Amino acid sequence: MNRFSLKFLPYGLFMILFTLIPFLMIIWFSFTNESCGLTFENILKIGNYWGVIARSLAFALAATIICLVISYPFACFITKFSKLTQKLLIILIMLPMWTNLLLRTYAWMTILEKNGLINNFLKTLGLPQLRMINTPGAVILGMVYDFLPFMIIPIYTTISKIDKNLIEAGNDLGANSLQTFRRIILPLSVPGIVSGVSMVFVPATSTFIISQMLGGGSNALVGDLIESQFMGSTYNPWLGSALSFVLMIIIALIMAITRKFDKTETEALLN
Amino acid sequence: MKNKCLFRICVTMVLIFLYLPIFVVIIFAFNKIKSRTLFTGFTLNWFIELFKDKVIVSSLFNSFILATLASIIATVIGTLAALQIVKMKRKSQSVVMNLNYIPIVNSDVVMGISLMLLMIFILNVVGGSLGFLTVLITHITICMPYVVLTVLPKVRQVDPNMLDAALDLGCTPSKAFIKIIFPQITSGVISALVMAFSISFDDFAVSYFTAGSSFQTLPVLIYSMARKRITPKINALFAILLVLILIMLIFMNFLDIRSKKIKIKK
Amino acid sequence: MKKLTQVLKISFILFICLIQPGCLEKEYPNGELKIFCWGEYLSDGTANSLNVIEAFEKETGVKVSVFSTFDSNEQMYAKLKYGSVEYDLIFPSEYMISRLIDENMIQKINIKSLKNYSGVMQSCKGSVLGYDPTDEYSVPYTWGTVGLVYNVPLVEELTGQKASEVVKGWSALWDKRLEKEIFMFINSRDSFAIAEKLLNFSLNTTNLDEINQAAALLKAQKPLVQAYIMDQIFDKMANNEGAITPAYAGDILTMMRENENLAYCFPEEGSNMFVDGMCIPKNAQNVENAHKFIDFLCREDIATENANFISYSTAISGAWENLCEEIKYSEIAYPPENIKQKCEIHKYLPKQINTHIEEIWTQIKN
Repeated sequence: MNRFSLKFLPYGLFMILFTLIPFLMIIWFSFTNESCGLTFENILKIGNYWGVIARSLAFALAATIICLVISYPFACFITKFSKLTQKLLIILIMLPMWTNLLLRTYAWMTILEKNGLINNFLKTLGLPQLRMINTPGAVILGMVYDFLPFMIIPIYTTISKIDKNLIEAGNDLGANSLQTFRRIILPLSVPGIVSGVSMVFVPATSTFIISQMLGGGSNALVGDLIESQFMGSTYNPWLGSALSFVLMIIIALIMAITRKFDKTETEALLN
Repeated sequence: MKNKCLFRICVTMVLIFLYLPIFVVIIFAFNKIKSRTLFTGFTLNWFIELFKDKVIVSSLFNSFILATLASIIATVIGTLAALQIVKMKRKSQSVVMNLNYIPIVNSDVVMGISLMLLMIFILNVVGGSLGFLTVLITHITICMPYVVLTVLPKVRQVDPNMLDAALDLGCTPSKAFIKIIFPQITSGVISALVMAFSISFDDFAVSYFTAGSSFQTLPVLIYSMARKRITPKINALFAILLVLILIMLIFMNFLDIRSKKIKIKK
Repeated sequence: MKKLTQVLKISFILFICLIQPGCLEKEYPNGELKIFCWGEYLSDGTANSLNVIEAFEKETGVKVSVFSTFDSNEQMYAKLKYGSVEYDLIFPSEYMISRLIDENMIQKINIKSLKNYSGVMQSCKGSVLGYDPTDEYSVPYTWGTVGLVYNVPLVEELTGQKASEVVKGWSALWDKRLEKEIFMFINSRDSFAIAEKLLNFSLNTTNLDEINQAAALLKAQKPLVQAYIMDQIFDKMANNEGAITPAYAGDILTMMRENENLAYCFPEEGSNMFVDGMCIPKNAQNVENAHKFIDFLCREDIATENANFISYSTAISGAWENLCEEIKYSEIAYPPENIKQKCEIHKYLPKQINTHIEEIWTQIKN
């Protein structure tokens, strides 16, 4: 038995030292000030920034919905291709995830700008120009772009695992394609949707830099606000910690909600 | 047939959306001038310049070494832990797994700043400055949970009776591990290793907060450039890395298909 | 298990090589230097310029082992403040130099050991401008003023008026006809300075009422602003992405070189003048090498190379002589005395005022 706990020791140490303790330090910093005295000042100050928090949630929600709307039909369509094409398509979808996100987001600037790719394209068609860069829309687009694969892949996985016999059985019993979809495919793909939603919504809420690059400095999200408390002009790690604390609570709530929908998956993982 | 056409269009649209920025990055790697919007002519100059640029090359080297070390260490620790976790009681298992989820679910920024707070606190006591060691530790921390999640399902599939049988037949525990258990979880360990490598190699947020002055990784360099203007040298680097990753992904999938084939044949 | 120990061994060797970069490179006998600098602030060898860092390494045998960049004084301050980063040389602006002196974060420079110090312009020194009363903590590197750049055809198209008549002073940044074509500084200090100059206040005002008036003005401007940016301004203005922006003189010259549609205006309400100096942090480990680098940058030929490359006004009088014509006689980089008279430098504000400004600025922008 001793031998086995030795195996677990490094992991356990790492988890306690570098996950649990930093976690507690954030909480500690949230309730103290520069002179280490206990205070609620930081938490109260967050009231000034509720607009930013609300914006983060709203943008993340919008991005999640858009991702879902794109991904679901897309994932369904992929399953219609041959096995080899499916594999290839999945590689193509995963490939961007392996490359530098900053650089890809930066490239969107070139595409969305006033004299950027899209506007130049519209110009040659004789269409009116659009104002896209430095708007909330650009930030949401950046989020959708960065997190889309996280929605597609879980949905695709669940759909591709659906037993074809079920669908055939449905068809044999006289269901039309809409009914098959509503009664069989949709309910069976719920776990994929749930995990996709949480994999997009959670990182989207806490993302930073995307809005710095595409939002024109006036669409800051919680992540940017926290960063600026530690690395930027407003140096105030206590407020930054308090904001992080709030962000963690929000994330925990989201996770709790999605887990309610998705109890089976975690159960499966434990068995 | 009509449907198929519609599928194709839809799939193409999404792929265009995903690849448009990548296309833009690559195109400008071949641009004659330094602009990021105007394409004036074709050149391979930036690819040559890239390797002359000490800052870029050294941060690429840094990122590579860091990702290699972090992924190996994280995989070793994570795999050992996974072997133990399966043997735990249900309750302690769920505690460990919940803890394991914290770094995965938590936002990058919060992970970054919380580790930075800890590192600075430790360094204030021990002395020294943020640098390679602090980034390495934080990278191991963020990679480990993914390793555990990837290896665990494989470990669960291992039949405990096989190990007992080996031990009964006089195998030493370490030999039994190498001969019996390890071959069964190899695919999980390899994919965990690759995953950990990519997480560490692409990580920006956590290194940004914990790297300090003396150790700059590639993503951090790109970030500091993006605030002003990114040189086409970086675009050239992106193009090279993309090709390498593509080859690797295809290779891995090929391996995957082959191993599955072998399994089926058996 | 054997393989595992082997892997561990290899990683250990790699690790040792990493923490001791010396074991790979032996050509630098005189130690190292860690520099924390503004982005694109030293001539870097592109476009036939001199690579100042390599020249320094060759000449002195000192390895510049770290070269990181920052894009605002406050960002640099935050990094230094932790105490867990170590730099040997930093490039703060004047008000930040005062603050760093005040908080005991930088050390005295041995001025006497600098051979080229005599070339430093009197008018940039801390003792003359007041940011470093004894001249012991900083050596000026560059200076400049803040002005307006505008895109002539774009302004004329939007307003239907001659551009030079529209853009006379800071008030042009509040012109409703230029809606969403205006860029603004992202940092609080520079933005408040503009509003305060427009209201005819000192840009170092500590009067809360005045500050709040400035804040109200900036708030009113927000709907007109396309983006709050800093260093990306080069690209944006060069690509005709906006009609008007405030900018630092050196950057203005760079932008105008890249886009001929751009024109410069010195705001009639007066403006801000800045000096960026070189300082050595308290916890620097290679103090001697930092002195060498400071001295190197003060040398006339090196200062000329830098000034030609970054277009910021050099603080070394001898360097000015040899500049390229375009910059040498530019009124943007080297304004006449009457314009300098209309400029004010930033002073370090008391902490509460500073925090107050930062907080309202974050709220205004969002």
